[in-house]
Amino acid sequence: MSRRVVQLVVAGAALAIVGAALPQTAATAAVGTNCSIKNQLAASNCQAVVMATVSKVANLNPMKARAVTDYQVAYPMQGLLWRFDANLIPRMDLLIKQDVSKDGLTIYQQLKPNLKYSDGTPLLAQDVVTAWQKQVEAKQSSAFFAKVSNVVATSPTTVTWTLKTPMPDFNWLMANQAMYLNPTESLKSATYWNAPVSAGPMMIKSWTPGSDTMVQVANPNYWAKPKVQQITYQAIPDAATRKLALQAGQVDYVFDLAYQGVTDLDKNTIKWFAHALPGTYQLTTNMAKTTSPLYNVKNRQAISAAIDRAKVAKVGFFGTVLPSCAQTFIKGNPYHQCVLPNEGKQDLVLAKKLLAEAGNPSGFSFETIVWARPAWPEAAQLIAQDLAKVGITMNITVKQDTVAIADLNSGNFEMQFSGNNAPTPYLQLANWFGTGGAWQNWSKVNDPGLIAAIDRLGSASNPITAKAALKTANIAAYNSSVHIPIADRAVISGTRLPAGLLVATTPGEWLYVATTPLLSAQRGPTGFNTGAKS
Amino acid sequence: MTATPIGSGVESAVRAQEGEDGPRPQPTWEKVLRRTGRAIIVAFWVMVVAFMLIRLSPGDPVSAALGADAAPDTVAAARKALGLDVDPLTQFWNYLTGLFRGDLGASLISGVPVTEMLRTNMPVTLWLIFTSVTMTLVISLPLAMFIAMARIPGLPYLFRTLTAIGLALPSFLVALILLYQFGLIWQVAPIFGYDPTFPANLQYLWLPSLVNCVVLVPVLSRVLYSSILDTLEEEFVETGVVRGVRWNRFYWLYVLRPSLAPTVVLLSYMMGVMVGSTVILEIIFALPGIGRELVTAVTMRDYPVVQGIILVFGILVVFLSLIGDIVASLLDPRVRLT
Repeated sequence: MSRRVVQLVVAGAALAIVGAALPQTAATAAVGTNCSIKNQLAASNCQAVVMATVSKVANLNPMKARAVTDYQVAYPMQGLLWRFDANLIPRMDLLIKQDVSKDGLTIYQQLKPNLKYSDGTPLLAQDVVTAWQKQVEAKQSSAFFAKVSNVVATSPTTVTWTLKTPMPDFNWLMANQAMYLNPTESLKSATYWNAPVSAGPMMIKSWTPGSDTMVQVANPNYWAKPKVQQITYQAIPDAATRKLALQAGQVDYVFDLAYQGVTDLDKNTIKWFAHALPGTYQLTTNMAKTTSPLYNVKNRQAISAAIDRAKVAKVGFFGTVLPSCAQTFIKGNPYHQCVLPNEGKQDLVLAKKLLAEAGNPSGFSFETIVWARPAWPEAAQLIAQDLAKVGITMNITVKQDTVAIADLNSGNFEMQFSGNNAPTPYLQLANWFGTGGAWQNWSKVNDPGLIAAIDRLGSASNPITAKAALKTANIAAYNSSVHIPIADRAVISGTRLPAGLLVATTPGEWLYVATTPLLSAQRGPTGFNTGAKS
Repeated sequence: MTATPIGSGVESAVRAQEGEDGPRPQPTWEKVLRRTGRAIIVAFWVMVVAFMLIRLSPGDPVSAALGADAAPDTVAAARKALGLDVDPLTQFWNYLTGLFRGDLGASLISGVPVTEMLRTNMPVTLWLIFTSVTMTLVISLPLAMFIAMARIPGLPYLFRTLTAIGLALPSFLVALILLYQFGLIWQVAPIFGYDPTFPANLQYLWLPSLVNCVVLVPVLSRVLYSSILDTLEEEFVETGVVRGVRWNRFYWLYVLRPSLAPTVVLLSYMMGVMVGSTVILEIIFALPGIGRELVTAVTMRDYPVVQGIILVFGILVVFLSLIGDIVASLLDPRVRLT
């Protein structure tokens, strides 16, 4: 027996050594090694690229999507009437024409002719109606559709939307994940989302639910030709490993790098950048906790006044974001106006005054859940230090996104430090405060006056009234202070690819894939809207 | 080492070691069966605990997983899928019969059957443990033997110091340092990923296994070193010297084999611990192992997956412990299988 044990040990060791010496294959085979950030013309060499994601794909069904990766991989392989380009401007995608009635209450859409999904199934106008119905039935993103009274397929290629009031941000909504198009009949299958077909630029080549890797290839039935022929999404949960994989050239694009150490990356081969996102870092209150000191608006406003937003932006987020001075984001939005007292600057005197008015002159304590994203816990810690100056104790618990979201769902939180974004201020405020908005559901805020102000913003008929309505809505939002804005949002990414080939927009939730012809060459929005880039 | 008079008891022990006369003391089948029976009873209680886990967790697991605002029909469907729509006794019966059919339920998040997840992910973790243990043995056995036999002044102190440092280093830090050096600087190991085919999988496993060795080798080699020192004090070792036994036979039969029993028992225990603790390495090296799957399931409150993996983990640990005990009693007659 002794000899057998020794043989087994030696054989095991030998196998380990042989295995280690084998040429590296699977991990590196698909990397776009001919790509270069220095050579724009080299984009044609980037036929197959690898993107590192923060988690594996949990579910492709947008109704059950839980993590950012689910949204990321879905966007390129879902059909949309309008699609965001690299600059987050909605462009006509599967539409050839869209007309709006003079009163702005009816929108006529005509699909491109002979549209087909990746499996050859015709894409019909009824599929648009189905997408809307699914959202309304599931009560998901229903605040986004608050202005829609009905949708009808008037022919296999035409759709008519009837609105309750005009909606300048309509095209932004159409480019949102709430409007993914799928075959009406196929959706009846319980297993459809294990292998969904695509009407977008990419389609699934290989993916097993629960696996770490998904491979997408260019969809031959899409009207434009993606410049990237294959994208391999590889889950690498650890941020440090994602960075090493990018440095080693084993992946081409990394989403959500840690802030620390990004400046060490080789500038000749890797470009790192902070996505400027149309969104806000915010503290969200659970208004269902009626015995919490946070239920008192004066206490919430005291918190808002005590925070040194400039320091949080500069130190906590390494200067990649701007401090907030309103409920909605700042960057690139021409309608933005500061409405927070003292332009959102730290005002400890005001904070103490508000605390005294609330009957808590020596402060109070509360629990806050912070999402475990790069720099978020550190930023929350800075806020806690600020609050301590006026006697408020903010106890922090850091949780993974999915756990924090589960706590939001179950109402098991007093306050959460998080981030939220939307392509337009109207859509963001509707999501935060409008009936049926995700964050309204979680915070349980119910402020009819605020909802009315947001509704007026969504129906503003010209830039002047829009600006006034946005100011009114922002003031009403501050008066509520259920969501306390901290700063704009940003996510750090790194790439070895030429600029614009693959871009994760709005913190990576919507992945843009460059095509020929370019999406940006298609018709964009007309008239005005409250969008960030308008 | 000098020769001393040999008593009859020592001769008997030597014969027992060498198996030269009469049957060598070995665990009887009766004892093995009895020990196995006890392991099965423990495994049953593991199964009961796994069943209770989902039922005793605070709050409603369905609401926790789907959210308080989930549509009633969605909640009802999830409750049915989890088997929570009937009385507890029926639930336990369904659970038991399901286990014997190989049905552990399906993920609430992805819909993938738990058995399918185990089939895909469990081999990765087992392979990682196997390569870690193999590399640990290859390093620990000669190392402990050398330190114990070499009698070099100061060497045991250096050995203890270095192993103490190894034990003190956190796995995640060692993993990142080795990944940086081997993966990025020397480029001899992939940074991430896995290939499920053998032997291609070994190129992804050797580096995380090496990280495991940083903790395992100090533990095992120190235990083995102490055990060898104890064995060297035994009279039958001196007998071997006096009898002029060949060196390979002497080292194996007289020194190493009688010293291995505590090491094997410890190893079986550590393998059980590794089933759960490899999760850190699975996350850092992006290995699709079952430990990472468990953490994801816990964070997503995917109770059927948590229940299924804990059940399999528990049973695995119980039987690893059983195998360790049996092997230890085979190696050293002084170890009794009770």
